[in-house]
Amino acid sequence: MNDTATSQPQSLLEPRTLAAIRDLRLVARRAVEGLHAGQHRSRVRGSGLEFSQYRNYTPGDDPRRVDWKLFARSDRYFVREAYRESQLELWLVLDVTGSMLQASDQIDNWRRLDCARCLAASLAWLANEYGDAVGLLTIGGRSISLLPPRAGQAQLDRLCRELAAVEASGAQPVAPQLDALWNRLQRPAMLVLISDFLDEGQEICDMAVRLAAGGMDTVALQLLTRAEEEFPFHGGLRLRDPETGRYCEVDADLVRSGYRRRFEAANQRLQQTLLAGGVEHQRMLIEQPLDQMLWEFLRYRQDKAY
Amino acid sequence: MSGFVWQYPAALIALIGVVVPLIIHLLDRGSARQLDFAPFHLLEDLPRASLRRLRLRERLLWLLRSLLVAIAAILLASPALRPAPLAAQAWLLVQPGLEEAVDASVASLSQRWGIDPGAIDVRWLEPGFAPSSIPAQARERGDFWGVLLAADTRLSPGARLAVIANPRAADLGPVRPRLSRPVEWLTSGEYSGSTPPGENGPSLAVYVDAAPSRSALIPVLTAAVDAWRRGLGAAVDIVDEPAHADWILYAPAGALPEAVEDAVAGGALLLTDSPAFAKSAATSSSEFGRRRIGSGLWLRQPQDWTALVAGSGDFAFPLRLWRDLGAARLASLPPGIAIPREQAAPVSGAAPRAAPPHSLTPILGVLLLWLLALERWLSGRIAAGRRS
Repeated sequence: MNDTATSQPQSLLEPRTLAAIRDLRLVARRAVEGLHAGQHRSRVRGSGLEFSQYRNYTPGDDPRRVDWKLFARSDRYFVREAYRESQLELWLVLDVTGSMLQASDQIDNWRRLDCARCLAASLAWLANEYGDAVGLLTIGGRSISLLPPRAGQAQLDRLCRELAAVEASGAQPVAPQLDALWNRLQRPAMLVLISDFLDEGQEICDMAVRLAAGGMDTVALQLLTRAEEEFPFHGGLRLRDPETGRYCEVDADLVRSGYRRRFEAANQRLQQTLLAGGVEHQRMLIEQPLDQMLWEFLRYRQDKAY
Repeated sequence: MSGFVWQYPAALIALIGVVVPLIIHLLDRGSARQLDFAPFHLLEDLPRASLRRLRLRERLLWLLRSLLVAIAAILLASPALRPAPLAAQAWLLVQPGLEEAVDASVASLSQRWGIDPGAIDVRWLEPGFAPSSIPAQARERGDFWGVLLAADTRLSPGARLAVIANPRAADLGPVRPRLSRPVEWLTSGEYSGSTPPGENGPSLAVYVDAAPSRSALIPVLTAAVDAWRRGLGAAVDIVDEPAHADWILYAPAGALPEAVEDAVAGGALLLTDSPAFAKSAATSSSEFGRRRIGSGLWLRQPQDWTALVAGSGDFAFPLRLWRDLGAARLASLPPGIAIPREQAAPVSGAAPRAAPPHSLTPILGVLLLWLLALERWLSGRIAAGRRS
């Protein structure tokens, strides 16, 4: 691939571009294509029905998987490989509380929810490539959308449509919504929670811990904005809580240090809770390019299925 | 009523600069914008989140800066406060020492001017114009003309001015002023009819040697002093201390004592004959006539008085001495002699002049510095609050 070809998908995955693209399928395909171009990971191959390739026998391979007909023809041992069959259910759990509407102060029309959508679509695409079943659940919003996991292209289309329709508002108790999920969970399942984890009661964090305690492979993807991390404002600010609609007036310069201290402390608490609960925690900025987020996600997951 | 004067009123246009702090203030405020912020709960009860205190400080800072600009503009315009012309209808200024003539003078003046005696404000003829009800500050004579000029400027244009004084040549001051009003000049005796006290004549110190060769001078000089007393028509005091003397008649031969030289340097008139000479000054003993020592004068006659007495006889000597004094043609009247009124009276007819205004610049300058320091401090506190 030449340079222009590699740079194109990257530029497509910049938040600035993504903000303008409404087609989640396109975004997801681009993102996952970019991953392959990085030759970091190829399709997982193993035993299955759909043929993929032959490879040389190496000691330790199951003798039953040796293609004996080929051996007869070529007098060499080849192992027949097929695409791995789906073993796993991937649940994408998307937080749709009002705080997900937090917009980036650097990129126009780029909210946390937009980033979460793209990320979820990309993960779904990736899972589909591996042949895994993907399901979607939104929590914290006024209405729950629940898409039970299934494999295949049709599911991917449905999921992308569902994601595009999702809107965030308010803040509903998470625990009852979790029960709906709980009944449908098959084990083993992998859960990716996409949220800001900024809720005061840490409900979503508790939920992640509960799920992990239930034996699920749980990943907490925390999406933050740069402004939330750095509080780069100056002068007087009238701040609104997107979930409760309350206001407070602050002087940004006066409260910055105090805010940063509290923010870091809250994050540390969150990290400790998640770690102690066996939940993998990853913190990402929505201003990052999408492929970079996926890279990060996969780097941590190298020893796992993805 | 005191008058407020701008010396450069055009500079007041700089007051427009007051809008600059306002603009700075509004620009600072303009940054307050509304924002959705998800980690809201982390900010809500931060101890330093109180915007109100900051707003108050900012407003104070704005006020201070506006005040600074305004005061700077006012400073440029050089404001001054003109002292109020005094409401008094008439002033009678009395030279300290002549106060016994006051009552008669007041009665006479009220008659002449046709005003109530109570309306005549009696004050001391001295720079502060203290009322005569309190004792005069100092007995030393000041600048007579200067004080009269000050009184003329302090009084309102219609008010009358009278003065009881016997100024001497040394009291007059450097410039004969032209006043805006005529001055009623009363010598101390004019209305009271009483004989003026010793202030009216020079005080005299007479030094006579007891040496046999000059002892003949004693009766002669005593006679001279008596003659002068009569001639001046005033009291001639004989004082012991040369420092208090207006005239010093020094008869002994030889070097002048230091006390005498000092008195002459202080303004006295010294009269000697030829055997006396100055110790300190580089005067040859052959030099005669007028010599200035400090602000005083030394008349050294070429003759020896003993010879003079022997030659012309006892009776003629005082006259001779008096004549010699006149022949010396002093530039001004000898010290201690009240000068004639026509020489001392200030000229009238000038346009009424206003008293010089007191400039407010120093006060405003200090105020400006104070405010500047305060502004720096406050702005520093706000900045420090932001950094922490």
